[in-house]
Amino acid sequence: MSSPFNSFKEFSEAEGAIYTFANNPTLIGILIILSALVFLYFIYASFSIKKGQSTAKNPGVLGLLIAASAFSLAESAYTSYIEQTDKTVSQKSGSAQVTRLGQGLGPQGLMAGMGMTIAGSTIRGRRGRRSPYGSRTLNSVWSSLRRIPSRLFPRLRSRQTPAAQRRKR
Amino acid sequence: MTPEAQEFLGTFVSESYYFYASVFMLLIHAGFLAYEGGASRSKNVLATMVKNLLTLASVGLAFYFFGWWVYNAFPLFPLTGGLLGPWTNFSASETLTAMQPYVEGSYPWSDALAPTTADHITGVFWFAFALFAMTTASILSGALIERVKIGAYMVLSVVLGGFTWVVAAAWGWNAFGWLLSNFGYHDFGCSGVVHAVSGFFTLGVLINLGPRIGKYDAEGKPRPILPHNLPLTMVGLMLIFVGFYAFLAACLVFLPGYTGETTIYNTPMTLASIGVNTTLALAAGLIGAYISSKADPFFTISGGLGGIISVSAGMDLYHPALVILLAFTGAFVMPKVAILVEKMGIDDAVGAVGVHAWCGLFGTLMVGIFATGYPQGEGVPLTSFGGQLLGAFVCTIILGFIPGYGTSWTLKKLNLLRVSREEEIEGLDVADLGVEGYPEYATMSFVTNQQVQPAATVDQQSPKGSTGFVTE
Repeated sequence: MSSPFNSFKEFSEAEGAIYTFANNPTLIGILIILSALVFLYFIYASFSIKKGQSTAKNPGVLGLLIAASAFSLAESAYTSYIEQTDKTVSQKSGSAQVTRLGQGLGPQGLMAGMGMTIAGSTIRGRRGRRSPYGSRTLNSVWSSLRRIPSRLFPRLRSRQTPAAQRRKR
Repeated sequence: MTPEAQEFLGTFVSESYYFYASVFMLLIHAGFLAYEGGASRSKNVLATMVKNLLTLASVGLAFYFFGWWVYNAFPLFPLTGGLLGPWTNFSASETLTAMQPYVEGSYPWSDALAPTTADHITGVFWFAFALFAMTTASILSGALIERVKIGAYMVLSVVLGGFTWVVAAAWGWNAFGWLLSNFGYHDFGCSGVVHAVSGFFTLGVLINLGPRIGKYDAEGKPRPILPHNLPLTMVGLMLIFVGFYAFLAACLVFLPGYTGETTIYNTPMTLASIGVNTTLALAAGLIGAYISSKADPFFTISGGLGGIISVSAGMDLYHPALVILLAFTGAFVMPKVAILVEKMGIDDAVGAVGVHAWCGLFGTLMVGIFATGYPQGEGVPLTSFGGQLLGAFVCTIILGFIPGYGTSWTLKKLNLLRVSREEEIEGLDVADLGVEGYPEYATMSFVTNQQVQPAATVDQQSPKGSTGFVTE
């Protein structure tokens, strides 16, 4: 379930975040990274698309990225639902279930990571073949992107609904 | 300020909000007018624009005579009750009692639609819904350009804008609708009840209407019929974007006495979410179509609209990052759908099936994946993929494709659907309206006449003697 609410009363009286996956900051972090990757790909592609033709050497990358993203999102949504229904486990854990990307996310983290790695490595590969300066620049962007989750998640945690925070406690 | 004045201020704010949102929605029609006019060839530009303009008349009047009543009378029919009207005993149940003022306020003879100090709101809501209805019919208008009879389009626009989309709204976009109360259907920004209905209605009509002369070669391969004024088309879509902000803002409910903003399903939402998510959907949609179509200008700007439609259904609930991904995906696939439709022998002049049918269907279904489990009232099922799938089926097939195909098939059998071959070749500006859109320019008729007639007689030989050139 992507809703952070259990009842209509809780939803209609909510004071705070009401958006989907508001109780799953990890997933929101992944979404932000994926959307940033799409944006970066657009900037990259805008140099190579001319007169109705693309000079990109591997146009299948984007399709693979979308497929990997969709799979990871669907799996995250399913996992989120399972976690919500398994209250006993979440009560015993006694802590927020936010984990670093790639460490505790399981299959969905792996898939999302794979999607990002594919996109990143392909972009690096393409630029690397053309210009060492471009490659270095994209490498630094990629390194910055990989640091985003650890910086972003603490802030996202504080934006959860009170109800969602209560549930996690 | 006295309590009475404060109370009236609340009424006035609500009244003004919907009034001005609806006025801005008229920009959608200004945009469609420019969009379709630019997409047509120069010999059809005026007829195309006049056809679109007449949508305001046909749907506006149909919505007054019966459309508004359909919206208020159909929510329970056929699953949870019957059609509501003067024959209904409204005291039979609490639900009927709650619906009574809405139904009685929707008759053409109702005081609520006439000037009355007892009701400031109903007429403004009628105005907003009438603009929704006109938008729905305008989507159909562009796809049929350059070969449909104006009378046939008027009938089709009344069926679509005055009835079928209104039934979809009554069932899935009304607090009493059975798609909501029995299946938890959620469609905040009308991906299904407006865009999917009109997109699939258009598909049904296009199958019977057939392609424009010259669209396909002898082997059945599609040939491009280029817009005569692509810049005008792009400006039109920019106007449509502006109008869509108002369209989505008018989907928000704020009534006198409310302490917060809600959706039409009485769930909480914010106006800010419309501002942020519409803007991001527009941006991501442009990107998706730009990459997918490899910078085709027509598809790229249509992608902005496709992006918005792809997230409209769940815009009140989606996180902005999710909006970007969904809008991008919907718009990325859109050009592929449009090209597939073209390869199937269906001549959709403006890509309405790709933008509205595909993105509307996609947007409706995505709520069932990315906004599941939301409660929308006590005893109402949670939002789910099953509920969205059923709603999508109702919107696309039951209220979209079948009525579109059926109505156009009937018109075709009566020989009322399509203009004659001679009229189509001559151009509908001259055939329908008797004037050319660009009388002083070197249009095809001007050039043709110049080649076969002495230059000095061109002015007398051109249609209606309207060319202003004197050549040596």
